[in-house]
Amino acid sequence: MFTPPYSPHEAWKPITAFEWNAGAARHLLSRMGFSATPEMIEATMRRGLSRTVRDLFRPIHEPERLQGIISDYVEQRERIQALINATEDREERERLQRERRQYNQQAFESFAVEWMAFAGQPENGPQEKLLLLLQNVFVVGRDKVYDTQHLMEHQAVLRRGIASQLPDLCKAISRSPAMIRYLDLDRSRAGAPNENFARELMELFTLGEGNYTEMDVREAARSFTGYRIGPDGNFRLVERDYDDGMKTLFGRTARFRGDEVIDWIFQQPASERYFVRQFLLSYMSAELPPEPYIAALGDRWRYLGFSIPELVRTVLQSRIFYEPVYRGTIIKSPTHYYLGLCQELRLHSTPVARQLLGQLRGMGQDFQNPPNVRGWQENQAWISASTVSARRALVDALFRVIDSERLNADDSMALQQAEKRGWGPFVVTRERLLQIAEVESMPLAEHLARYFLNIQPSAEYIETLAGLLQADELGNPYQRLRSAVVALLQSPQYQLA
Amino acid sequence: MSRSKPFSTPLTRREFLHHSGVRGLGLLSFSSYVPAFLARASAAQVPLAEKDRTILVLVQLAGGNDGLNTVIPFGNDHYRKLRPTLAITEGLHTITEHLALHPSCGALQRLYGDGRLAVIQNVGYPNPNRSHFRSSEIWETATDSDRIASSGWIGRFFDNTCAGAPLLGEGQGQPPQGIHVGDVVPQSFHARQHHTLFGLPRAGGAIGGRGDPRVDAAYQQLLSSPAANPQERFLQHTMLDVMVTEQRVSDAIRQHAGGVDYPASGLARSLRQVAALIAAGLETRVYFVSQGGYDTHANQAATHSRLLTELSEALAAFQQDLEMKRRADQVTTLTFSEFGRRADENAGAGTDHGAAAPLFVMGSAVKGGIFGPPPELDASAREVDFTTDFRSVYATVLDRWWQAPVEPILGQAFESMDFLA
Repeated sequence: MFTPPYSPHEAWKPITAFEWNAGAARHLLSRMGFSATPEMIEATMRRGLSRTVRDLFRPIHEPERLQGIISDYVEQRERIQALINATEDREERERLQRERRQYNQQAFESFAVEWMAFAGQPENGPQEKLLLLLQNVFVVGRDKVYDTQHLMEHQAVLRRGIASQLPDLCKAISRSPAMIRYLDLDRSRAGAPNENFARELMELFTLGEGNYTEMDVREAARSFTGYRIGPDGNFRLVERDYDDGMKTLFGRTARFRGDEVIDWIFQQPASERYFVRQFLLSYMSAELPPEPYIAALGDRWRYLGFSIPELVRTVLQSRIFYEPVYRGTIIKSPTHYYLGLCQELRLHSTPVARQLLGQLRGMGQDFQNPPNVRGWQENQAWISASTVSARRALVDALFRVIDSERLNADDSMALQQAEKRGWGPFVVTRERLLQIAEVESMPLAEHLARYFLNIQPSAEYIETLAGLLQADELGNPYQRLRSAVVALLQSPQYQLA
Repeated sequence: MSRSKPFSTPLTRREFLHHSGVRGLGLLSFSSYVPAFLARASAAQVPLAEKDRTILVLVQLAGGNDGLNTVIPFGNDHYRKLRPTLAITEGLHTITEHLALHPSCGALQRLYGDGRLAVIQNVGYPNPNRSHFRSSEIWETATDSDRIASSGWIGRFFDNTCAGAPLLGEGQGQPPQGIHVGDVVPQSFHARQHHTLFGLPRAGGAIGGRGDPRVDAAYQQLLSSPAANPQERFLQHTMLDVMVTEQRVSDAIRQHAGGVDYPASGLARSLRQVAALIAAGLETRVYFVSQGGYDTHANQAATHSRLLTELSEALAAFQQDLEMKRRADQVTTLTFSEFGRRADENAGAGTDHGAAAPLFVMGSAVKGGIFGPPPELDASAREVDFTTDFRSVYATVLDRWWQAPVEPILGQAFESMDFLA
C-alpha cells in the first residue's frame, strides 16, 4: 500500500501551482470526465485548476430532451391505462397491455440513446460522470423497477442532488418511486415493516457493514413505513400505514420519521467516511490510502456539511490525488470507455438503441440495470473474457462503414432522424483516417499514443505500433492504419484512466 | 528497431510474451499451426491431475419451470382438480407408482431407467420470493432469501479452491475456470477475487472473431509489448488469456466430431459446444448454459411441451456424447430454475409464479432415483412447499463431487444428499 510522505492533514490540501502541468491536467480530465484530448488539456491549463474545479456543477445542466421523453411516455401510458380500465373485453385488455409495454420499451430505448448523447457532450462530462457514481451507490435496477418514468426520474433526482448535501440527497432518494419499488418500501407498513430499504440505507448508502446493528435496521424500517407511489406515479406518504410509535436507533429513542432517521445516521461517525471511500475508489484509486487519510478527509467533509461539490473540489485539487502512483490506474467503466472513444474520435454515440444497449450489456454495464443492489463492482471486475471481446467489438464497429443492409426498419429510421438532427458522424471513415496516412510511422505512433493514452507506454509499445503502421502484412495504407489504430484502442493501455 | 514485426500465433501466454516476434509465421499460418498448438497445450499446460478433475454443468431453466407438470404426481386427485385443463393424464412416462415424467421427456425416462438421472423433489428455500430477478439471485448467490450477496456460489467455490494458488506457471496463462454461454457472466460466477471466465456466443456465432484478421494480428502484437503499471499488467495478462482461450475453444469446437446427433435447439447447440470443450480436455470445472421461456403464464401446455422436449433431448444427446468420448465419469449435470409454479392453474390456462419444484441431476456418477417426498397437495393448495433446501443440493456437489468445504462457500452447513456417492 502506498503511504504518502506527508501527513493525512497535508494530503487534502491543494497542490501548488508548481505541480500543475499538462500531465496533471490530463489526469484531472480523465478522472473528472470521459476524455482528455489535447484541446481539452490546453483549455484546462489556461483556465487553471482552481477555476476549473470551482466551476464544476454550477449550474447543473438539465437534459431537456430526457424530460420530454418522460412527459410523452406518461401521457401515452395514462391514455392506455384509461382504455384498459374502460374495457371488459379480455383480448382487448391484453392487446392494450402489450401496447403499454411497447411504449415503456420505446421510452426506455430513447432514454438510453438520449442520455448517451447528453453525457457525450464534453461540457456535461463531469456532471454525468459523477451521476454514474451516484447511480452506483443509490442503486435501482430496471429488472425490478420496470417503469421507464420511475427510472428516469430517479436519475433526475440524483442529478439535481449533485449540487446538494448528501443527507438531503438521501432523503430525496427515499421518496424516489424507483427506490420505493426497488427496495420494497411500498410493501412496508406499520405492524409489518419491510427491512430492505432500511438495511441498504445503512449498509450501502451511508454507513457500511459493521457500523449498525440489526436493531437499528428494524427500528429504522418502522420509520419508513407508509412510503408509497401514488396513482400519478409520484411519492406520497400514507399516514395510516405509518408506524407512529417510539423507535430506538443508535442509542436514542424518539418518534423518528424517515427524514429524522437520515439526519441521525449522519450524526454517526461512520457516515463521514463511507461515501468518501466510494468516491475515492471511483475517482482516485482502486487501492485506498491508509485509514488516517480517509479519516482526515471525512473530518473535513463533515465540516463542509456533507456537500457533494465540496468533496469533489477538495479531492480533485488535492496533493494526494495527483500522486504519480495513482495516475492511469483506473480501468474505465464500459460507459466511460464508450463515451471516451466517441469524444476522442469526434463521433456521436449511436442513435440505434438496439445496438447501443447490446454493446453496453456485452461490456458488462447493462443500461440502468446493475446486477443487484450493490451495483457494479468497478475496476478489475469490469474485465472478463466476454467483456474484453465486447470492448474490442465496439472499437471495431466504430471503424466500420454502417451496413444499411443489416439494419431493420426501426434502426434505419433512427439513423435518418438522428442525421436530420445534425447528429453524427457515427463511425470513422476511410477518408478521415487517410488524412494522417502521410505522416512518418514513428512520429505518427508517438502522436497516436500521446493523443489516446493516459499512461506513458513502454518504448517497445511505440515501436510495435510504428511497425504496424508500415507492416506490409497488414495490407494497403488504409488497412494498416485502421488495424493499428483499432488495435491501439483495444489494447490494455487504452483501457486505463 | 524492427521495422516490421512478423506475426505469430498465440500459444500460451508465456510463449507469447517470450517468443513473439521471433518466428516468421505469416498471417496465413494462423490456422494451420493449430494442431501443434493443441499438442503443446496439453503437454505443457495441463498438470497431470487436471484431466481427472470433476466437472459440473449447470443448466438454468429460466422463467420458473412448472415442476408439477414436469415430474407429475399423476395419481393425486388434487393434482387433477387443481388443474382442470393443464393436468396431464395421457402419454405419461411413469418412473414410479405415483410419479411420471412429462410426455415430452421420453429421453429422460430412459436415462432414469439406466440409473443416470436423479430427481430431487420440492427443491426451494424458506420465505420464497416470487420475483424472477430476486429469486434467480437467491439461487445463484445461495443466500437466505432476506440477504443480498454480491458473489455467487460458484464464484465462492473458485475463491476457495483457487485462492492463492499459483497460475499454471508464471506467464503461462490461466485457462478459464468457468465457461458460460451468452454475453453476460451469470451471477453464480461472481466472485470476490478475479478468476478467468469465458463466454461462448449464444447464437453459436464466431468465437472471438471480429472478422478482420489484420486487426487481430495488430492487437496481438501490441499485447506482447511490456506493460508498466500493475493494472496494465493485469489487463495484458487477462487479454492474452482471452486470446489463447478463444483460439483453443474455437479449435476444440471446430474439431469436435462424433456420431451423436444433437437436436436443433439453442440448448442442444450450447451443450454440444460444452461437450466439445470437455472432450478436448479443457481444464474448466464449471459450465453454465441456459434455456429460457419457462415463464408460462398463459396457454402453457404447448410451450411447456416444446421446452421439455428440447431439454430432454438435449440432455440425453449430451450425456450420450460424453459417454462416447469417455468423459461421462467426469461430468455431472444439474438443472435449476428460480422457482416452480403455482399448484393451481390460472384463468388463462397457464400457471403463475410459485415456490418449490423438482430438479434433475444427470451423470454416470449420479445415483439415480427419486429423492424427497412427492409434493403435498390438497384441495386448496396454492404452493408446492419446499422439502429440500437448494443449498443441500449445492452442498452435495461441493462436498461429494468437488471435495470442497461447504461452510465457507455456503455460509452455513447443509446436509449432503445421496444422489452422489
